[in-house]
Amino acid sequence: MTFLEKLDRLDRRIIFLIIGIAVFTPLLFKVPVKVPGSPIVQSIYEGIEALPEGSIILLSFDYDPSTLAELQPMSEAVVYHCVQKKHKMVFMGLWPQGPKLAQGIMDDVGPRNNLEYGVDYVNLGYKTGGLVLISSMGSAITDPFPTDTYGASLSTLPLFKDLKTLRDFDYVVSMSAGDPGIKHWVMIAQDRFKVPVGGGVTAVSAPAFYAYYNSGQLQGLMGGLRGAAEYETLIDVSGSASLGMSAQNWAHLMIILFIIIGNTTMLILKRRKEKSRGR
Amino acid sequence: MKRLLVILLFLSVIPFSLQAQEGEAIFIAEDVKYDSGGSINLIWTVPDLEQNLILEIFRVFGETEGKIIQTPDASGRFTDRNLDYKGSYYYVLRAVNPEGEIFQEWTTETIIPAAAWFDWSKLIVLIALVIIFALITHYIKAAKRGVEFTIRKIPALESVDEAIGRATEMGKPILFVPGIMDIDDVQTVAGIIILGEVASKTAAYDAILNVPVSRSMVMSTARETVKESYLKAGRPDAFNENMIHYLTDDQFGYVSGVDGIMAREKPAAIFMLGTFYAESLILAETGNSIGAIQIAGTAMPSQLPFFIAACDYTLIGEELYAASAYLSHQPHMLGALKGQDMAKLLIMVILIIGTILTLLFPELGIVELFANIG
Amino acid sequence: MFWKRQFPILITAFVAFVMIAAFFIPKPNIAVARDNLQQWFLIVVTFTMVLGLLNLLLVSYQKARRGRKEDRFYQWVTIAGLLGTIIAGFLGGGIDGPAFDFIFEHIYKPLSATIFSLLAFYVASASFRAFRAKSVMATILLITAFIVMLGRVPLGEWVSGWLVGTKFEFLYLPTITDWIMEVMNMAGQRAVLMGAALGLIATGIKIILGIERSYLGGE
Repeated sequence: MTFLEKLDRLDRRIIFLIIGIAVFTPLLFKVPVKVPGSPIVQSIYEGIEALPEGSIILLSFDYDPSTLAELQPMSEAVVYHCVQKKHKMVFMGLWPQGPKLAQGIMDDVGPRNNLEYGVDYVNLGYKTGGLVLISSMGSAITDPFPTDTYGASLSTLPLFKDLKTLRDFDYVVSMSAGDPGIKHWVMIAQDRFKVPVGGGVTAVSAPAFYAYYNSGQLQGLMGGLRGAAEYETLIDVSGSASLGMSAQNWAHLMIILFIIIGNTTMLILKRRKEKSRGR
Repeated sequence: MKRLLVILLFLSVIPFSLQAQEGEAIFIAEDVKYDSGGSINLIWTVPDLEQNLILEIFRVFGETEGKIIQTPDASGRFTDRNLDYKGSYYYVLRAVNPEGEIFQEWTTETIIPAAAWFDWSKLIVLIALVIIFALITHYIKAAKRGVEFTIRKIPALESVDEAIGRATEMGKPILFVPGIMDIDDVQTVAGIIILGEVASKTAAYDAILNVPVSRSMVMSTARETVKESYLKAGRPDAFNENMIHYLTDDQFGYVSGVDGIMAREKPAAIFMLGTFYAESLILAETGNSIGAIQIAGTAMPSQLPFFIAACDYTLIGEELYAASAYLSHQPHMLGALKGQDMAKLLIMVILIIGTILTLLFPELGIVELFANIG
Repeated sequence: MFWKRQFPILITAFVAFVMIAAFFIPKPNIAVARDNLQQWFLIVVTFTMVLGLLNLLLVSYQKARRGRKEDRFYQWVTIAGLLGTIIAGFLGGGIDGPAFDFIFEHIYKPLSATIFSLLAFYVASASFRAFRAKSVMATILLITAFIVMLGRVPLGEWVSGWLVGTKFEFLYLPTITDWIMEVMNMAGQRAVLMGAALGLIATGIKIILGIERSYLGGE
């Protein structure tokens, strides 16, 4: 096997090694990269920005630690934005581990901004059911969530004094890694109860949601780490997404190089074959 | 169209009604139409509201009266929700000063926030459903009468035999992954239906079948289906319940489990048919690395490119649902498929006409007909 | 036979009727019926989780005792992981207890993130193999992929940033990327979605009418 043939069928382990180095090295140097906001991210930012102070935002953490690297920066960015705007926040999760990830953010953000649990934010926790759960929140939030995640009855929490059903939320943000997730929020919260829905998804599944955005069913969308980095730029915060963008930059560059190498070797080998056949 | 007319009528009436009573205050309570009851719309306009006065609206239900809103706005709209849909309510609007003294008062008529018998905003959905239903049942009946329907070749399904045959020759197992969702997802059901056909063939060829699942309900369903296939193939002795086994509900836990099976058992054929998310490429690339024939299928648009890049054959979207008709060749299944295709043709025609009309006559508001249909 | 064939189909038809009726009829009584049926599903799902758990234990134990020698270790790891987590949950103060917290933070989180991050590597190897200019169509795909990959990272802005403000601004890579994603990609996605939705409706009708019965274990 010649060098070119070897290059044409490059061992996947070599590809993995190079990608590993390309991702790891920029993360060591921690250079944040600012990314300007695209219209699709801008519109979710504007949706939350336009709400009057004290509006109630439902943040659904529909993911688990596996997609933490992509989705947690988005959650953090939206929470920072809500805090900046003095909105009230209600956290929940359609995935079992979601509320714990929300708690992780609030353990840090809450005390720093003197936010009071029960008044400024509440964590409802996780309940199984997905679509059914959202649907029953439309009748009464206390149906699926008689208590918050810590066991306190919702009627004892000041934030829930006038907050009875899904309709009473001013905005729903779903950070979603799959099913159940943002699609179900669109189907029930937006389509049935007319509460605006925005959110974020992993870069892999983002293309599927452009259809919902263009039809107006989804107010805005953050796709992958880039989406989160754009949101960070909009709220003028340099968070983990902006730091991760340089790694993504290099990874994309490497993939592009691999594709160039693959195509060049393929073309040279093809030409050689044709030449030898011609002889 | 009816909704459009109602909206136009409503919009045209508002300015007249407001003008007609210029100078007079308006305070109206009306039931929210087409809802599940329990909601009342309140509309108020108080001209010449003195600057130091504010408006307070009280809800009266039986003997109880409660303040629901306090606003300095002289005109506005509010929807009072979570009411008893059988109860009678009326509302009182009071103009008060900061000390609470009442200057003027208006009262609405008594109103019941009743539930509607039909949500007219969903009429178009109902019509579409009836048409699709009629088309499918019509063609099923035609098939039963003996009308023959042909189906185009789907390479992914043509290669099922080849994949199973190859695995049998090599003495290696066949891995079937029915996606990561539960049985309430129709893609999972479609996957299980194909599993039934695959199991008939593995029973006939005496091949080894391995079905790791991520949901217990899928496990029970798949077991019944595979058992039936083995029975029908005359090989009940070859059926073993543990061919279909549960791994975990956790998305990436399941992926690592399946990847582990692929790496250790090196199956010669891998079927991935059902709902897949981010795990699609992880599964397909691992399968590719062990050199297995891979047949994938999903209706998840964002995962299709990954399957196409890493698998030998891919069922795209509706092909997944058509697979049972294709593999079983039963006339009534083919009839249903024909009905589905006719519905698609109809939708295409409507799309084209709708697009042309919207481009040429945007004022017709055709898009509005399809907005907010829930 | 009635209980195994006709009865499940009757249940399916009844539930489907209630669900469809609840979609069109906003009367609260029907909504209550729908909610109850949905609750039943959740209850059944919860019970089947025990079934799955027992199956996992049983199959892993059988393989650990009688399976291939080189695989046995993995089966023991599965059993130990499962029982260890259950014990940590029950004896370590529930899901908010320190033991469960430790498992979640220091084992589960990194393991899950590791599996997901494999995507970065697999995307690279799959792209290397799949994006080859073998035909006209493949070349179009290749060029599109190139533009989108560049346009999605700041690199694209640096490479084409000088075009902004000139009459070739439309060639600015992030702009082309957005156009590809929101127009070309979305048109394709919609077509697949519509076809799939119709397939879904047709399968649903077949199940409701009892034409499709293979999921019940046969004809």
